[in-house]
Amino acid sequence: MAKKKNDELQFRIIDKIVDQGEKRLKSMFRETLDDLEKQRAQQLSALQKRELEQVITAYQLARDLVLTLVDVKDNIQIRLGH
Amino acid sequence: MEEKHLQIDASREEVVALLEVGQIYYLRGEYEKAEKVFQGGLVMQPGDGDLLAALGATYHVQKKYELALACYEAALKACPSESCSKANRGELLLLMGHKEDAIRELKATIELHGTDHPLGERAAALLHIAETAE
Repeated sequence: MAKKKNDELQFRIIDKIVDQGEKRLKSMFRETLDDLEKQRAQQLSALQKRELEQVITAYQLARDLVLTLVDVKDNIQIRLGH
Repeated sequence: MEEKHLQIDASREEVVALLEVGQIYYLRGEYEKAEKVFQGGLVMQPGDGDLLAALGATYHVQKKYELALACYEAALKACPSESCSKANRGELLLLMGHKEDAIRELKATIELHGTDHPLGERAAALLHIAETAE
Protein backbone atom coordinates (compact mmCIF):
# COMPACT_ATOMS: atom_id res chain seq x y z
CA MET A 1 0.00 0.00 0.00
CA ALA A 2 2.80 2.38 1.00
CA LYS A 3 4.68 1.43 -2.15
CA LYS A 4 1.68 2.23 -4.31
CA LYS A 5 1.31 5.60 -2.58
CA ASN A 6 4.97 6.31 -3.18
CA ASP A 7 4.60 5.37 -6.85
CA GLU A 8 1.56 7.63 -7.15
CA LEU A 9 3.53 10.50 -5.68
CA GLN A 10 6.52 9.84 -7.95
CA PHE A 11 4.20 9.64 -10.92
CA ARG A 12 2.65 13.02 -10.15
CA ILE A 13 6.06 14.67 -9.80
CA ILE A 14 7.51 13.05 -12.91
CA ASP A 15 4.33 13.81 -14.83
CA LYS A 16 4.78 17.48 -14.05
CA ILE A 17 8.45 17.46 -15.03
CA VAL A 18 7.82 15.49 -18.20
CA ASP A 19 4.81 17.53 -19.18
CA GLN A 20 6.84 20.73 -19.00
CA GLY A 21 9.85 18.96 -20.50
CA GLU A 22 7.90 17.58 -23.45
CA LYS A 23 6.46 20.98 -24.23
CA ARG A 24 9.91 22.48 -24.08
CA LEU A 25 11.31 19.63 -26.13
CA LYS A 26 8.76 20.23 -28.86
CA SER A 27 8.86 24.00 -28.87
CA MET A 28 12.51 24.54 -28.11
CA PHE A 29 15.03 21.76 -27.80
CA ARG A 30 14.16 19.88 -30.97
CA GLU A 31 13.65 22.92 -33.21
CA THR A 32 16.76 24.61 -31.89
CA LEU A 33 18.75 21.42 -32.30
CA ASP A 34 17.65 21.18 -35.95
CA ASP A 35 18.66 24.80 -36.53
CA LEU A 36 21.99 24.27 -34.84
CA GLU A 37 22.75 21.17 -36.86
CA LYS A 38 22.07 23.14 -40.06
CA GLN A 39 24.70 25.66 -38.96
CA ARG A 40 27.34 22.91 -39.22
CA ALA A 41 27.27 23.47 -42.99
CA GLN A 42 28.10 27.14 -42.64
CA GLN A 43 31.51 28.75 -42.90
CA LEU A 44 32.70 28.99 -39.31
CA SER A 45 36.04 29.65 -37.63
CA ALA A 46 37.64 26.90 -35.52
CA LEU A 47 36.46 28.62 -32.34
CA GLN A 48 32.91 28.97 -33.64
CA LYS A 49 32.86 25.32 -34.71
CA ARG A 50 33.99 24.25 -31.24
CA GLU A 51 31.35 26.44 -29.62
CA LEU A 52 28.65 25.14 -31.96
CA GLU A 53 29.52 21.55 -31.00
CA GLN A 54 29.31 22.52 -27.31
CA VAL A 55 25.81 23.92 -27.78
CA ILE A 56 24.68 20.92 -29.84
CA THR A 57 26.00 18.55 -27.14
CA ALA A 58 24.13 20.51 -24.46
CA TYR A 59 20.89 20.30 -26.45
CA GLN A 60 21.35 16.59 -27.15
CA LEU A 61 21.84 15.97 -23.42
CA ALA A 62 18.72 18.02 -22.67
CA ARG A 63 16.71 16.00 -25.19
CA ASP A 64 18.10 12.71 -23.78
CA LEU A 65 17.13 13.69 -20.25
CA VAL A 66 13.58 14.52 -21.25
CA LEU A 67 13.27 11.22 -23.11
CA THR A 68 14.60 9.34 -20.08
CA LEU A 69 12.01 11.01 -17.89
CA VAL A 70 9.29 10.09 -20.36
CA ASP A 71 10.41 6.43 -20.08
CA VAL A 72 10.37 6.59 -16.28
CA LYS A 73 6.89 8.05 -16.38
CA ASP A 74 5.64 5.38 -18.80
CA ASN A 75 7.07 2.56 -16.63
CA ILE A 76 5.36 3.91 -13.54
CA GLN A 77 2.13 4.37 -15.52
CA ILE A 78 2.26 0.68 -16.56
CA ARG A 79 2.93 -0.47 -12.97
CA LEU A 80 0.05 1.62 -11.66
CA GLY A 81 -2.27 0.57 -14.46
CA HIS A 82 -2.92 4.14 -15.58
CA MET B 1 42.37 40.96 -32.81
CA GLU B 2 40.02 38.80 -30.75
CA GLU B 3 38.44 35.89 -32.59
CA LYS B 4 34.70 36.23 -33.18
CA HIS B 5 32.50 34.03 -31.01
CA LEU B 6 29.49 32.07 -32.21
CA GLN B 7 26.31 34.15 -32.06
CA ILE B 8 23.16 32.30 -31.05
CA ASP B 9 19.79 33.94 -30.56
CA ALA B 10 18.79 32.27 -27.33
CA SER B 11 15.86 33.28 -25.21
CA ARG B 12 16.19 33.49 -21.44
CA GLU B 13 13.75 30.57 -21.27
CA GLU B 14 16.12 28.36 -23.24
CA VAL B 15 19.05 29.28 -21.03
CA VAL B 16 17.01 28.61 -17.89
CA ALA B 17 15.87 25.27 -19.34
CA LEU B 18 19.49 24.24 -19.91
CA LEU B 19 20.37 25.39 -16.41
CA GLU B 20 17.62 23.15 -15.00
CA VAL B 21 18.67 20.19 -17.15
CA GLY B 22 22.27 20.61 -15.96
CA GLN B 23 21.09 20.77 -12.36
CA ILE B 24 19.16 17.52 -12.77
CA TYR B 25 22.27 15.80 -14.17
CA TYR B 26 24.27 17.25 -11.27
CA LEU B 27 21.76 15.93 -8.72
CA ARG B 28 21.89 12.51 -10.40
CA GLY B 29 25.68 12.53 -9.96
CA GLU B 30 26.27 12.71 -13.73
CA TYR B 31 28.80 15.49 -13.43
CA GLU B 32 30.40 15.23 -16.86
CA LYS B 33 27.00 15.60 -18.49
CA ALA B 34 26.11 18.50 -16.21
CA GLU B 35 29.43 20.14 -17.12
CA LYS B 36 28.70 19.84 -20.85
CA VAL B 37 25.20 21.25 -20.49
CA PHE B 38 26.44 24.27 -18.51
CA GLN B 39 29.30 24.84 -20.98
CA GLY B 40 26.83 24.82 -23.88
CA GLY B 41 24.59 27.24 -22.02
CA LEU B 42 27.52 29.60 -21.54
CA VAL B 43 28.19 29.68 -25.28
CA MET B 44 24.60 30.85 -25.68
CA GLN B 45 24.72 33.29 -22.80
CA PRO B 46 28.36 34.21 -22.11
CA GLY B 47 29.04 35.50 -18.61
CA ASP B 48 25.70 34.32 -17.17
CA GLY B 49 26.15 34.34 -13.39
CA ASP B 50 23.84 31.38 -12.70
CA LEU B 51 25.48 29.16 -15.31
CA LEU B 52 28.96 30.11 -14.11
CA ALA B 53 28.01 29.34 -10.50
CA ALA B 54 26.57 25.97 -11.53
CA LEU B 55 29.56 25.10 -13.73
CA GLY B 56 31.87 26.08 -10.87
CA ALA B 57 30.05 23.72 -8.50
CA THR B 58 30.29 20.94 -11.09
CA TYR B 59 34.05 21.42 -11.49
CA HIS B 60 34.33 21.68 -7.70
CA VAL B 61 32.70 18.30 -7.06
CA GLN B 62 35.00 16.73 -9.69
CA LYS B 63 38.04 18.21 -7.90
CA LYS B 64 38.88 20.49 -10.84
CA TYR B 65 39.68 23.20 -8.35
CA GLU B 66 41.40 25.81 -10.54
CA LEU B 67 38.55 25.72 -13.07
CA ALA B 68 35.98 25.88 -10.27
CA LEU B 69 37.68 28.90 -8.74
CA ALA B 70 37.77 30.71 -12.10
CA CYS B 71 34.02 30.08 -12.51
CA TYR B 72 33.20 31.32 -9.01
CA GLU B 73 35.29 34.46 -9.60
CA ALA B 74 33.50 35.10 -12.91
CA ALA B 75 30.08 34.39 -11.35
CA LEU B 76 30.77 36.87 -8.56
CA LYS B 77 32.02 39.43 -11.05
CA ALA B 78 28.77 39.05 -13.01
CA CYS B 79 26.66 39.03 -9.87
CA PRO B 80 28.48 40.13 -6.67
CA SER B 81 25.60 39.01 -4.44
CA GLU B 82 25.63 35.41 -5.78
CA SER B 83 25.78 33.82 -2.34
CA CYS B 84 26.27 30.18 -3.40
CA SER B 85 29.43 31.05 -5.30
CA LYS B 86 30.66 33.06 -2.34
CA ALA B 87 30.16 30.18 0.09
CA ASN B 88 31.57 27.65 -2.38
CA ARG B 89 34.61 29.81 -3.02
CA GLY B 90 35.25 29.87 0.74
CA GLU B 91 35.15 26.09 0.87
CA LEU B 92 37.32 25.80 -2.22
CA LEU B 93 39.96 28.19 -0.89
CA LEU B 94 40.12 26.07 2.26
CA LEU B 95 40.54 22.91 0.20
CA MET B 96 43.29 24.60 -1.82
CA GLY B 97 45.12 25.55 1.38
CA HIS B 98 44.46 29.31 1.22
CA LYS B 99 43.38 29.40 4.84
CA GLU B 100 43.35 33.16 5.47
CA ASP B 101 41.37 33.91 2.32
CA ALA B 102 38.98 31.06 3.14
CA ILE B 103 38.36 32.38 6.66
CA ARG B 104 37.64 35.86 5.29
CA GLU B 105 35.21 34.48 2.70
CA LEU B 106 33.43 32.18 5.16
CA LYS B 107 33.02 34.98 7.68
CA ALA B 108 31.51 37.16 4.95
CA THR B 109 29.03 34.39 4.12
CA ILE B 110 28.02 34.02 7.77
CA GLU B 111 27.64 37.79 8.06
CA LEU B 112 25.44 37.82 4.98
CA HIS B 113 23.13 34.95 5.97
CA GLY B 114 23.49 34.23 9.67
CA THR B 115 23.90 30.65 10.85
CA ASP B 116 20.21 29.76 10.52
CA HIS B 117 20.47 29.77 6.73
CA PRO B 118 21.89 26.53 5.20
CA LEU B 119 24.71 28.46 3.48
CA GLY B 120 25.61 30.24 6.71
CA GLU B 121 25.40 27.03 8.68
CA ARG B 122 27.77 25.28 6.27
CA ALA B 123 30.11 28.27 6.30
CA ALA B 124 30.17 28.21 10.12
CA ALA B 125 31.08 24.51 10.14
CA LEU B 126 33.85 25.12 7.59
CA LEU B 127 35.06 28.15 9.52
CA HIS B 128 35.37 26.02 12.62
CA ILE B 129 37.48 23.53 10.65
CA ALA B 130 39.61 26.34 9.18
CA GLU B 131 40.25 27.95 12.54
CA THR B 132 41.06 24.75 14.36
CA ALA B 133 43.11 23.10 11.59
CA GLU B 134 46.86 23.09 12.04
